[in-house]
Amino acid sequence: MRVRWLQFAVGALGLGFGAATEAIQIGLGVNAERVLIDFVVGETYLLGGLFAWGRQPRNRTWLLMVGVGSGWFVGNLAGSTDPVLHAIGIIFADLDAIFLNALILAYPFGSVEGRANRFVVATAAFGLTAANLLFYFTGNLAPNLVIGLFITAALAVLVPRRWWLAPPQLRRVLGPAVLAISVVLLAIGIAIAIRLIGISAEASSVLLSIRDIGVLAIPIGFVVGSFQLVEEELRMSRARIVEATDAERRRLERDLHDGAQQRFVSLSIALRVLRSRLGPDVAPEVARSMDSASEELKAGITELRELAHGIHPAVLTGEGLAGAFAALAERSSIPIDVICPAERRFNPAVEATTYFVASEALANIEKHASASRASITVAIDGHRLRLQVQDDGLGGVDVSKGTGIVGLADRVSAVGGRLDVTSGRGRGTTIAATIPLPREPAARGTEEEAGDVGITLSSDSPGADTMTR
Amino acid sequence: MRTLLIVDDSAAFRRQIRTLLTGEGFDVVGEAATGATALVACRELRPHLILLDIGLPDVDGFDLAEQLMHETTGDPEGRVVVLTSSREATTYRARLQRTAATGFIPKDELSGQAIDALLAARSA
Repeated sequence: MRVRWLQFAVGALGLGFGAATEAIQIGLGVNAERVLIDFVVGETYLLGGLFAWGRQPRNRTWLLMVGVGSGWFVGNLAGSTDPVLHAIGIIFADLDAIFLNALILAYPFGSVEGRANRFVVATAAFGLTAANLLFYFTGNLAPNLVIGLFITAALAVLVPRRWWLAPPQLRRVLGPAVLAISVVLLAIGIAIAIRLIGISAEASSVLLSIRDIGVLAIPIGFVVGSFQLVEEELRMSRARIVEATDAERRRLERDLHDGAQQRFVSLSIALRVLRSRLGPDVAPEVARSMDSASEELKAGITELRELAHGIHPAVLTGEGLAGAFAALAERSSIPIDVICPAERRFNPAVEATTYFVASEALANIEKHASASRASITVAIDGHRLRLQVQDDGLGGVDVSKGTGIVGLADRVSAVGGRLDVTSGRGRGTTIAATIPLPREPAARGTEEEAGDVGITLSSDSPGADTMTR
Repeated sequence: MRTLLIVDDSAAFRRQIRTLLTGEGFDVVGEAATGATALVACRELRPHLILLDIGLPDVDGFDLAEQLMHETTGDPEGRVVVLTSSREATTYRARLQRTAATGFIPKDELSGQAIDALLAARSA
């Protein structure tokens, strides 16, 4: 609540200060349109910063935006007749540029990281202020221009470099910083064009309008960016939860297998030994009891195996999607065609998500679709995995009813993908998931990576449990 | 009598399967709980048959099967390595297709008869 009041107070103060400094400009006879644009740009930073403060108080981006907004109007004080205000206006004329520079380099997390970035921020803060002090006393503007050019050049290198090195999730959020430096470069280009090349007044007014629109776009970009950051952080936290859940499921499956399942198997062998040692002369009721105990135990082992498989199929960990889907097809009550890149492995979160979407879709087909056949197709399309589960059943699936498909869509979106369901009445159902593949530092097998050779497996008959070669 | 080496990290399972297979005419000449001891035991004991659990703590069962198949054996016709697991065969499908081992039998179906059936199917 106190923060809310503080935000109102800073906002009101900013509006008042901005209006007062613009009044000085009007007094000097500056074009009203230019004054209005100047006011709107400064206030957009200020109010945008206050807005970001409300959304992400711990991220200091808002403070830098409020700094740019407040600094924006300080330069206007140079036009004041009051000697102190005039001096402040000249010496701190570049406060907005200092904050903007820090804002661009600190975006999106609100702190300036790395030696090069810190050096540029410090040079801007101290260099520009010192240069303006020099200008105030000597009237020499050259040092200011040199430092300004240096900072612009540094930003033109550092920002694209950061964008280039950033992971895809961060790239999407870095947009405003890239936009800001592009606009700064554009504005400088326009200024040079007007001053040095000397173009017509009409053309220069058009160019100045373009520059103003660009300058106005920067604060809006940062506000939109702060929205995106919140969204991206939410998505990343969901992805972490999904990954942790998957890891827990893998551990649970291993524990069940190494623990209870091993004991049951040993017990079943012990019973068989006992049964054979007792021989044919054993009392019939004892023999019956032993046989029934063996049967129960066998059923128990099967149930436990199914339970463990449902928690996390070990075949997915060991053999990836191709093996897991082939096993899934064998368990299915209807024939399933599987097309999947053989041997190729993906990030565990991608594999688990793809597998659970397909197995859930298949469970739904078996329960509700009355299908005679279904297919699971996995294809790699650039940096995306596309999964399609299709059946020839009743169709007419209503996505809004039942939470199954919504749950799957949530799971897919947690890894940055999307799920589409197409289901016309009488025309079967197609569930399509598109999942982005994270770029991994080193591929496990380059030959396998290069060739997306699909293998096709059909399961019209369940496989035998004992295999020979 | 066919000599057998049991490789499994569960002592309870080794004890039970030893009793079962001894009763069915196998001569269990040794037991090993890890891949490393299995290799040593195999060189020293030269068993005809090795019953090998896929999920050993120190090595991958498929890698070990590969090595064991190349060790000298007491049988002129070559070594028999039977892979086993309390998981089912479908868990290891592609690896079972590639393995040099003789075959796979799930633990709860292990018996002298099952091993004989596997060998008969192999030579058929």
